[in-house]
Amino acid sequence: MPTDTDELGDALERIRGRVEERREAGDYPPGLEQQLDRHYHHILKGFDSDVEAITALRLAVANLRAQSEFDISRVDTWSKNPIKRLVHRVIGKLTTRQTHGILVHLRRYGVALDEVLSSLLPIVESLAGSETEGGGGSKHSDHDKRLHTALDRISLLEDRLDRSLEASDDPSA
Amino acid sequence: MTEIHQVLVGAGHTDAITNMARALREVLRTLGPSEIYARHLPPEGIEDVLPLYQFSRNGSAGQTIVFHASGGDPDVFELLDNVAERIVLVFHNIAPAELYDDVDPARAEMLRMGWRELELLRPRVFLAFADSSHNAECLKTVGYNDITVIAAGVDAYRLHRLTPDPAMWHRLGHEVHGPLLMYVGQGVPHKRPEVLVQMQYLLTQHIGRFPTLAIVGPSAVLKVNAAALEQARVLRVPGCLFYGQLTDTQLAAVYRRADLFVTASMHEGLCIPILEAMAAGVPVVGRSVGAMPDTVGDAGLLLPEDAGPEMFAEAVGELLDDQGLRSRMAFRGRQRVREFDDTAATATFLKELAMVV
Repeated sequence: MPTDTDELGDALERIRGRVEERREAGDYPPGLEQQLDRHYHHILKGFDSDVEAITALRLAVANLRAQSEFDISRVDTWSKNPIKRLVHRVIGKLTTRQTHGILVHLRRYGVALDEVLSSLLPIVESLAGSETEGGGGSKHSDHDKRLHTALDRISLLEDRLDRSLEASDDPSA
Repeated sequence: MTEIHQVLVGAGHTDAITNMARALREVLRTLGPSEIYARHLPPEGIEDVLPLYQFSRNGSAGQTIVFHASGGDPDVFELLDNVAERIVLVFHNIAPAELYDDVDPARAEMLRMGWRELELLRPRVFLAFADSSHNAECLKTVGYNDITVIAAGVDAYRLHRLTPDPAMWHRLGHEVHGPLLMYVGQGVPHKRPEVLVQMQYLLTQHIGRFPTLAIVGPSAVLKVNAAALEQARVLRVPGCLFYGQLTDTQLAAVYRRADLFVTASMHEGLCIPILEAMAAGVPVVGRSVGAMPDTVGDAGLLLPEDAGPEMFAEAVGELLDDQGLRSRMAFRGRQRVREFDDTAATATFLKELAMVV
């Protein structure tokens, strides 16, 4: 029976062999790893503050979406103390209706906010893209037009968000 | 009553060193008052960690500070160099500065400064701990001898005990197709997240395998994860998920769903996410660098230091094809992680401390 170290050593040999086979077969063209590494470093070096800020925004929006699944099951009732744990569970059961109501409001707010951000992100990207592609001879009038369009859209979205929030506050809704 | 406070260079909500300090604080509080102070905190602060400027400089020579060294910082050094208290050093290693030179020169300088500060603090340190043999060897290079190797405050089962976040579980159900490869770590240059993206590119576009890759952790150097994400976008790599920083229960859900933990890190002082992966029964693939061989033992597949995305892709393919090997690695991982017994390590830490306090 092979020892644990033998087993992993054998696996490593098979992996090495397979890399060689794929290189010979052309699945991994010569210099592929170096090419991928150069590509990554090219992106890394090309990151100016605008692109970096947009990527940060994109990561932040993705993170916000990840946090916006409001669910009653996410409200923790656990405690080290079994008596407190029981109390938390009982209170949780007694206030289910209220908690659910708050979560419904939050969910609506989350959807509306997501809509705003989803609409804004491509605008911000296109504005930054035109700036970075435009180089030294940037066209201010073109940027102004885009900016006004963006501001108009923000106003529209703000109105829609306000209406949506008002509707969610309306008990008859 | 013995008052022992801990000083960190930086703290995070779910940061591994902060969690170790929290675990130590629990036991230090059995001796007397004990707080954690950090120079760098998230903008919103951390409820149970105090900013360094609140540290009282009225301590006496009979008192003790536990300093967790993980990087350089002039304010931390100035404080430690001027207070009356005795210093206990817990060394978590310092990332190699040369990997930061092109990406974040200021941080590279701070890392270099970290080693210099450790040298200068040496006469003031009366007890030194390192959380791995590798870290102890590194500490010896700046003149420390008599180092106790102990991973005190490491609770590898921390996430294993939690109920995975149901919403995250639900989200994974939607977003993960096929086997899930996961990685957890800060977005910093030496962790090399781009190698994982390139591995996923080769798996999906050269080998015809379609796992999902989840990269989890805060972007400590924003460009690093951002450029990896951009490369995934430009190369149209399917199944690349950048989850950023997750809560503990969300992370527990990812570990529960994962088939393999893959890391291309070039430098590890201990690597707590690997211990957490082993505790969760997730087989580990990484490079044979730093403390990795000591941490993983025979429970993980360690590739050569210079392994590139091609070798990582083949290693993933090998393990995904061999359910038996994966199960045996998971079993050995669970056994291995028991050797990092937090209770015993913390007891030894306290015993060593009691001999001199």
